[in-house]
Amino acid sequence: MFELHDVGLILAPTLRSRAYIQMLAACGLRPAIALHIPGSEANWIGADTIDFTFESLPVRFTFQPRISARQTVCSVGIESRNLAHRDINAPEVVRQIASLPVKVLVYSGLSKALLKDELLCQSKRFLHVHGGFVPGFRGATAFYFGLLEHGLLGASAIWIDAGVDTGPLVMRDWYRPVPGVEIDRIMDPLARAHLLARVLGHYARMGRFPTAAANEASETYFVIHPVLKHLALRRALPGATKSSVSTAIQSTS
Amino acid sequence: MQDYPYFGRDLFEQPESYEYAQCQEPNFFVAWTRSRSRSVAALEQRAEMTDTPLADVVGNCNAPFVPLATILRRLIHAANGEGIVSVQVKSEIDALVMKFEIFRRLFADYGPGLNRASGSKQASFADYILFAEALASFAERLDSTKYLSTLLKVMDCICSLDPSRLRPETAREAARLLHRERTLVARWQAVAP
Repeated sequence: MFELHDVGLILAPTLRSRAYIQMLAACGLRPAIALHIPGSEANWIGADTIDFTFESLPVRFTFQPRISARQTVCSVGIESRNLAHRDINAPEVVRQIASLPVKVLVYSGLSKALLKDELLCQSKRFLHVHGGFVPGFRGATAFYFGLLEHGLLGASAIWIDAGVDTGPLVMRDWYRPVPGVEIDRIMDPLARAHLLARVLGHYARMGRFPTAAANEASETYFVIHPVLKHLALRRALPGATKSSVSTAIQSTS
Repeated sequence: MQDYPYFGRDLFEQPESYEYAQCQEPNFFVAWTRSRSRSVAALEQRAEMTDTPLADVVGNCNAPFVPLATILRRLIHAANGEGIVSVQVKSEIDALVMKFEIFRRLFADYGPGLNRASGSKQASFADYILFAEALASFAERLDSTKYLSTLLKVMDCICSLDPSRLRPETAREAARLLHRERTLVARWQAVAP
């Protein structure tokens, strides 16, 4: 188990946060603390377990979408605290975060909850994994646009700044979707979780975070129109990609 | 047969966010295609009429404010030109896309920095058709799914109107743009089995 003494997690009651903490646990990465954003847990009515194979993991990863992030945090022995408010920018939440004994916080918050200056000016860095291959795919539902154009799901680890997905790039990759697995709540969160585990794994081994350069033109997207989303989803159906016989989510790097 | 869910109510009055759209069913695309075909027929019928029941909004036109239509014609000209699309042109169309995507409305006049004129009226339906034409031009020129996505939303709004609210020439342009939209979507349909 790699102990990440100066890294904390901000988790929401979402499937993405569940994916993050389960993936970190599977990779033997244990942050120092987890902060829970209050709210009712996301409902999941699909399969109890979904198996994935990752190139960088020696064993098959089994995602359990019904297991809350809070349960996993508890089971792997990470210190757990509740945030005082659902609003990440609320003054009492800012004070809570400022007082934490960690330098880096992985932010897996609620959608549309951007961090404001009061938080960003604290002596912490916030690591976010965006669903999209930046800088070419910034903004809302960017992963659907990437899926439509390339047949792959983009994910990018960035340091949060005041802009929309404009912060310094840490690591990015394209992931091949598993045919038949739901994109919104399983595939995209798992791709992002895997990239996060790679970033934190690098930090655990090397003592520093990776950096990545990107020279492409930037583009910021808005919520994808359902007709294009429909076509993007069709690209993830069986037979849509050359490697669709594989049951693995694979990094393309 | 599933109905296209973004038809049947005035989307200018009741803006649609499109978040978490349920559109994975195979019939969704067929429903969209049929809905658009019905709209084309209704708009072409409207285009044949000669009455003009509604005057389009005319902008304030007080300097330094510029009518939206003038801005859009310039952008369309730039998108259809042979030179490289300049950073300035791209930033202007992106600014209008952002306004529409966030607020679902445009205004009849804009000043420097594309700030709307105080007291400016909302854009006319003819302005929205010009906006759609600009989006189609940039989607074609740059092979861009971003502009196509916004074009689909603008055309959802136009199709959600009773055609009698459009002037005949505006209806004719709307029908023409729906054909253009269909061609643009077909390009991406081809890569999705």
